[in-house]
Amino acid sequence: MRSILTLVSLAFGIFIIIIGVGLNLGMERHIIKIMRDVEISDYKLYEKGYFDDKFENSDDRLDFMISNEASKIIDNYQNSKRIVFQGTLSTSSFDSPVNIIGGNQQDEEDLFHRNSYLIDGKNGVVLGVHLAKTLNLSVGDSFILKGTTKKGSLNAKDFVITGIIKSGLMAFDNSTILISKQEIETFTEASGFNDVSLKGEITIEDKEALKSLGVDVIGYREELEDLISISQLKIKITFIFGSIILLMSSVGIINTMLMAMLERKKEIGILMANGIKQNVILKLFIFEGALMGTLGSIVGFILGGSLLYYYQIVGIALPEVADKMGTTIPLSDRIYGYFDWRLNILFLIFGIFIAVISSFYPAYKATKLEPIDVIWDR
Amino acid sequence: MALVEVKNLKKTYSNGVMEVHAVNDVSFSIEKGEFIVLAGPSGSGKTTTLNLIGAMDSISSGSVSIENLSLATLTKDEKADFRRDKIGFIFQNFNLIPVLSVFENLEFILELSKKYNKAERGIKIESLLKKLDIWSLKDRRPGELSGGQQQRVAIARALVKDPVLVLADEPTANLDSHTGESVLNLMKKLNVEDNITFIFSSHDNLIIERAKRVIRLRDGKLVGDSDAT
Repeated sequence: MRSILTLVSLAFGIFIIIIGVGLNLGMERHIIKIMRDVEISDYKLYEKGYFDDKFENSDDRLDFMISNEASKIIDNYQNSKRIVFQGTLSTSSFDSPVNIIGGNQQDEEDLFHRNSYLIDGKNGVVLGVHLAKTLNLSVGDSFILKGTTKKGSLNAKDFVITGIIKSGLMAFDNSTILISKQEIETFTEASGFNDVSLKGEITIEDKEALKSLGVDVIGYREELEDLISISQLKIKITFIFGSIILLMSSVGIINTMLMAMLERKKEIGILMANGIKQNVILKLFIFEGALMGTLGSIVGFILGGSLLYYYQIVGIALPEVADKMGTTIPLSDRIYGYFDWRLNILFLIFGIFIAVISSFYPAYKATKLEPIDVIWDR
Repeated sequence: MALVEVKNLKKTYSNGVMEVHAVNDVSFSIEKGEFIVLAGPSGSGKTTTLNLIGAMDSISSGSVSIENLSLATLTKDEKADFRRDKIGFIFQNFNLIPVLSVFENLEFILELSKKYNKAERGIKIESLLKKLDIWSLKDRRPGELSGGQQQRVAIARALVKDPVLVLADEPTANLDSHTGESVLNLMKKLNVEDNITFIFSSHDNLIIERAKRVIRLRDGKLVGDSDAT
């Protein structure tokens, strides 16, 4: 029973690490994929000064228009040049802050396959699905878009919804409106663009040229740096948490093996009297610990791996509360696991290693037994 | 050359306050084929002497040599090899491994020596168990055997590795007189027929009466060494 409990605690530790790390990795990978598919592509281009303080600058995006001279270089690559700004969507009952993306519809379609994400209607004036749901809006309904023009004056205009889009990315689905670039240029009284999504590998020369024109070229990983940092932190916390469980298991293994050693003192004495060597006793105990560790780790690996694989295929629906978190932290509406064989095999080995290390002390104590002491029970 | 040479043997235990001389300046020698008893009352040092001859305990001073090999200079591993190859032990409490069958209790002893393959081990064990008339018990575990049967298995375990010396510590103490006599007769037969050297520690008259030679100890000192009459 003692051995089974120890084995279970070890399996639990490995299970927690595999599931925790796998879900965090899966979430990170899934969000990166969606962000690239629906919003970023390979690179984002901003006017110098915007990206360094993007949260501070988000209300003043029209102050960061990119020079038209950069277009020549940008057009060497597949791209979508947009005007992006913050505004307010008003209905008769609600006001809601929104992120407006004004892009050339063909460019947006080519780069992001917007049509495939539409769940109702067509391109034109498209609302994120959660935003539409929250405000009880559907295709054909109208709303008032309020915002500030480039010159700083307030503007408002009626729009009729032509489509509803569901990207699966909460921040996008909760607060985004896609409108044609011409409409937004008229609304904001701004020409040109302040946000470029670009596909392909930008050459060093083009990067340098864009830099000299005051354009920051941001790779998608850098764009998602905050998300990746949070994800990495969560992975570390999960690993530490799992390691604490494994540490507790290792205390269990030490205790189990010490008790086993005490219970078998007489047998050890008989073996010693018949010529078994200390190093053989050491090996026997370590083998037993390793066996326990291997079994526990394999059980944890199989259970954790199976569940993680299931989550990789099916995913977990996020509860409603995550809708609100999604406006500030990029989250998808489902979490998917990611089963990394190499990483999980490492966790498996880690579990076995912990068990072997934990067996050393009881094994050492067993080798220090004197045959006459244990045979005559002194 | 004597098989066992004990010279000025001393074993001292200390409890931190005082020293106890369990064996004090004991000397004797034993030839091959002897059937000898270390006799004496409790605390006389007979079991300690047996342990020192069997390299189960460390010598405080003096020397013990078996086949001209001095035990005092052996390392722990060398002592283990010595016990594995040269000495057969028979204990008062039989000390069989309870989770192993009779056959397995003998087989693991041979596995330790690594001198025999599985088939050879099987032949050797079968032959010995048949000789000791316990072949029918080969699949039973110690818990399913009587005291006399367990001691016969313990004798088989001591003999299976062909030791130069069998050390038996109070082998009849946990047996009734009839069973004890039967076990002793078996050991005597092995001594006579196969020239196996036995050293007993005992104060049991059954053993002392059958011994060729009796070494008497008292308070750790040798007080008599005589051929049995």
